Amino acid sequence: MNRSLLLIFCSWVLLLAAPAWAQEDPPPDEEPAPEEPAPEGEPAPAVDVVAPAPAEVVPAPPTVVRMADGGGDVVEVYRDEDGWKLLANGEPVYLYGMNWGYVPIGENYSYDFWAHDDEWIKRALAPEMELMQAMGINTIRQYYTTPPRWVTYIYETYGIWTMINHTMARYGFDIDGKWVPVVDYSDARTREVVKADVMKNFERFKDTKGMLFYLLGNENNYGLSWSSFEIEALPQGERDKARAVHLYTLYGELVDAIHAMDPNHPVSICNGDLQYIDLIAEHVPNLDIMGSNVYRGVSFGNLFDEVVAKLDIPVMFAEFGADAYNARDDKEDHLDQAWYLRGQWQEMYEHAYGNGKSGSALGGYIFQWSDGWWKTGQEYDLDIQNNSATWPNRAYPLDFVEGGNNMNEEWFGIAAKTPPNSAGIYEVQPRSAYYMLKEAFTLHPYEERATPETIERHFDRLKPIAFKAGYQADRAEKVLAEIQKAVIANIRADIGGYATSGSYVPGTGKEKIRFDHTESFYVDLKVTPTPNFRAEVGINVVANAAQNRIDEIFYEARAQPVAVVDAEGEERVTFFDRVQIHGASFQWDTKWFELEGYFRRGHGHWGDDGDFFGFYQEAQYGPNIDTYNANVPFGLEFHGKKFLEGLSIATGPQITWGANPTVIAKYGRTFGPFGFAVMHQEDITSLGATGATRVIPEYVGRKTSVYLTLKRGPAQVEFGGLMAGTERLGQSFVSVRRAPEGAASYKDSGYFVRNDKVAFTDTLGAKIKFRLSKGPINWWIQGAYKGVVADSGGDNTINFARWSLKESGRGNHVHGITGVLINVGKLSIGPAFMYQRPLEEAVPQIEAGVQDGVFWRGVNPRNRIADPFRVGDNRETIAFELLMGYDPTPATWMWQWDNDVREDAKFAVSMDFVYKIQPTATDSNIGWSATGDPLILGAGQPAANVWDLKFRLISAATNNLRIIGNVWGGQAQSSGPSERLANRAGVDWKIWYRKMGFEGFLKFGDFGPYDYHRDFNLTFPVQAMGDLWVGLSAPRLGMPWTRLGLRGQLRYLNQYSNRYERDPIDPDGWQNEWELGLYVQVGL
Amino acid sequence: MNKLLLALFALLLVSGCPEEPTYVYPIDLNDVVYTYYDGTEGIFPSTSILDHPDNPFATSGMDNVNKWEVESSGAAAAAFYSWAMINVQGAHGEAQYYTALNLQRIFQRELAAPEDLYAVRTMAIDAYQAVLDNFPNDVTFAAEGFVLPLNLLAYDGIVALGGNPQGGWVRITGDNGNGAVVQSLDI
Repeated sequence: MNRSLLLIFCSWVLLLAAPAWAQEDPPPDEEPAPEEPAPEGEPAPAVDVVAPAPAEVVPAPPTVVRMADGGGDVVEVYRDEDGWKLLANGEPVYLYGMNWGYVPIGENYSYDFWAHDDEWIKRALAPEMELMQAMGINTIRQYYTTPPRWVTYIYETYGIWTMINHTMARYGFDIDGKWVPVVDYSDARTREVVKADVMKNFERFKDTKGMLFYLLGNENNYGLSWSSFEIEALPQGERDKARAVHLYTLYGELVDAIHAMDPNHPVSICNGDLQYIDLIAEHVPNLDIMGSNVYRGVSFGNLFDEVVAKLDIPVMFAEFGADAYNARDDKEDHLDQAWYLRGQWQEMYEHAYGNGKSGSALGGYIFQWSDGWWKTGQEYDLDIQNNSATWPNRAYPLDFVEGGNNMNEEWFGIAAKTPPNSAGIYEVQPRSAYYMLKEAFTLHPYEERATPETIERHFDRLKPIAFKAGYQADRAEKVLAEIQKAVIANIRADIGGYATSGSYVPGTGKEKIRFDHTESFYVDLKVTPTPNFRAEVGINVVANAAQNRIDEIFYEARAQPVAVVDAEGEERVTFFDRVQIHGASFQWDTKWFELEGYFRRGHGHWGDDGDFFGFYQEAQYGPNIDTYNANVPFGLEFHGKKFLEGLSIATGPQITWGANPTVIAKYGRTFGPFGFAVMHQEDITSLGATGATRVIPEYVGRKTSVYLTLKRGPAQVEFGGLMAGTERLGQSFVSVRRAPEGAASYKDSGYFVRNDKVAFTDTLGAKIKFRLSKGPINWWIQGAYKGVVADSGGDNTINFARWSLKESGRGNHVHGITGVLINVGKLSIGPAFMYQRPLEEAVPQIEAGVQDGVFWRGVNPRNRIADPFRVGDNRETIAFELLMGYDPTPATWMWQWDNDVREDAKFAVSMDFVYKIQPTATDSNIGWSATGDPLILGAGQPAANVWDLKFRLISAATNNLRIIGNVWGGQAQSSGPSERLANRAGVDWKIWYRKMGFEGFLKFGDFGPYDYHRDFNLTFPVQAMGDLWVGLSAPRLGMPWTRLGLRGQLRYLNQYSNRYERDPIDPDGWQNEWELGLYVQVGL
Repeated sequence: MNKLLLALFALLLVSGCPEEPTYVYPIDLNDVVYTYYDGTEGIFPSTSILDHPDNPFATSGMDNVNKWEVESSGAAAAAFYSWAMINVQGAHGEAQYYTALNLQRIFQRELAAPEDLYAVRTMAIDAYQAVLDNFPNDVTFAAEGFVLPLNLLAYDGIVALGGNPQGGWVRITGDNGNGAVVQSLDI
């Protein structure tokens, strides 16, 4: 510090007497010996790296080359007997420089970093500049195309100066509208144009805060011989000296012109090594700083002394360094790079001011900050980091092989580079050289303790290998992040063998046992090309599907053998659908919208966001889509942001099970306590029979709704209007009216029968709901009117609790529902009441007949296929429900869908009792045969009172033990016309202890597992199942899992069961069927 | 707001008041009238009976129980439509024969428009001929239970209407004195 202050004082003194002290350059001697021009891109060839005899440095009195004047910074070259320094505003600046550029992977030299908006530039600059600042870099090399304001920004924000460079047509220039790839510096017009451009662009920086000094050219001496832009082996000697004279005279003119324009900043040139140094001495006499791109390996040899001897000016390296790729071993080697840079900086320190040698080293600009992926080829393979070396340099012996190249142009960065993110910003990963030089720069060459001995000791202890950890950790993290962009998220194999038998199986004893097996494999692939886009696809492959299972409908059954008759009439067995997309989805989150696509992956509903009439239904079908091999749901969901906020669109071939290809659009907003939404749904076409799986496609139609809501404290009221079913306007239907007592009715049926048509008023509906939540009381009430064809969707919302009583989504009814949930400590009590009545009641079955010479036409219940509406779940109902729950840990909600695994209470229990009075019948249902064919089930469901009582118990007894159980009983009605009610009861359980589990059920008089059992009123006197498994881990929701299990199932059959064959010997006896399976499920 | 209300009112006007539903009454079989349609109705393989505007069974169809009720009512027009529907629902000789029989009755009782009677006669002959051509071996059963061969009944029907049975059919008398018809190819 003392020395610095002294220097500053001396500088000011000297400045005052500058003219008396200014030295003139000595006149040139005789014509220097011709030099061989150095090949482009390569340092002076065949330079022996032998410690030369130091050139004698003639000490000169301290001089100040530049005068302080003008605005902006004042930068000058200071000199005294100890050497040269660069002073910026009086402060010495040792050039810890960096060749910095911002070219993302995939771009090349034409990329314009500064063309982005300011916000983006600052975001991109910050990590780059901060890293360099932390390293100790205090100056960067930039081309004149950098806007001056950003030079100031970088200086003021990060303390980093900028050296401004004009390449002087090194790579071609536009001369009077014509592109000249290799300029001729002897041409007067060329000189005039180039000079004018240099002056025009440099003048923009003369008063720019943060600009350090001017740099002219870039190895222009190497460009005198070739028209190619590729770096090749340098030609021997200086064959183009004649052209070089013109180059250097132009340099000389420009240096003088720049001095005249801006006396406050020094001027340097960027020469290729020291080629033509004698011409420099002759023709650029007023050069302030000798700048060179030098690639002499670990040592600069006699460079400093030669410059002092011939030019008597300080030295600055515009480029120096080493690549980080070992061409001989064909692998990255950042340690070698660090080794070279260590040696180079040590010599620069030794030759810096006052350190005992030439004192001429002002510092230098490392080539380069980050790898340039565009260097090889320049127009192609921009997204590949090319490993090929493009020129040889024996000065880098660690990977030099005679006859081969070892300079890897795309690997010169002291930081590696990652692909840019969606904003075009990338990250860098500093290599070992960064960390090592950061440590090296803790010793400043100008500080007092920087003696030759300390410098040597300081650099000697810097071992590159000690600094590799940071880079390796960074790389590993980035590789991991890249790997995670595409991962196999889940692999699962389900393998099972099954033995089955039953009373109906022919044979005796062991002959009756059938055995088969199933192998099914799942692979889920997840890709994340950018952080805001994720996609996954799951594939299932079936190797074999058992054909003997008593539950005959299952996912893998699609791959069972099928007999076909070929073109020659020969019957043969084939297989379909062995490989299937099990599901796929994607999510794309941008600042303008969210877009989700789904195929056999569930989605939620919009019922809480203004979809008051349930247009967009919840589509979580659980295992049913696998059981019935349905390709649902399938569609897209869009939600707008920013100015599109409030807009949602859903569309797809089948967005819910049985939906036609459709588009649903919703727009809704809230303004304080008010909210509104409008929705419209337009079916595009019919799903068709081939697209529907065990469902009758809906009418191809349209729906429109409006919704208004007002919230005031604990209360909320919602109102909605609906128009739907207009596509059925004018369609005929049969309606009935009860005949008064004693009146003559249609064929004495008790009904009048009418022919009617769908009118406009039949397409209208309205609903109002009120909710109040105050303290322990939560009450809601709702009423609705829906015209006969005003179908919409069911209510997916949860009104305080998961009551079973829900409104029908169908039209043709009026209803009123109310429920209240009362929380008494940990106990919840929730009674509910519903009244529902169809506008047009079901049509009874009246047989055709002739009575007394008149013919009574038959009247059939309506059905979904032939009629514009029907009475189904919108039947006349008076229902009462009592819901109760005891949950000591309300944070895990008892009625949450995943409560089985989430519930954390030691004991939680719920009860749900529903009693329904159904005094009238329904119209016909559509049932499904075991083979999936639709059937009109004759008459509808008869009038019946039914009830259902369910208990659910869950206990997270300990951390290792979880018990989940359900007990139920009731009287249920078939979906078909059967009068018989099923008196059913049962229990199921899951007991998980550590990695073992026992699951099962016991049912009495209940329906079978499939929809056709309910359609055709098929029940079993007893059904039992037990599954004992042991896993590698406890089950976790959604996580892959490995377990081995033994599963047994037993059913008893009676006259109400399918596959029952009455035994004449024991006509009332039960029969049976059973299955025993051993399975393994492997999940990764 | 005024404009909105006006628009809604206009919409309601345009939508119109819904039509009143019409009550469904039974069909008095004696009120059923035969009208000539295209000359093929009721004659296999024509299905034009389904489009006949005066067919009271066109939408409801006819079943195998009520067809006899209609037949026994004596209302020939109603019986014609009834049997024609049975024939379309599942063609067979009995249905075709009774269709022809009731066409004959319509002709003989002049239950059609005078200008259509001759056409009805032709239709009856064609209907009987359809029995011979398409259902030559079908039979029906008398009320007493014995079998009646439809080819003989059809043949006699054609002759009774003054027609000439086609297809080489010949009436013969068996040794037991019972009549029968055979096709000349059989001789």
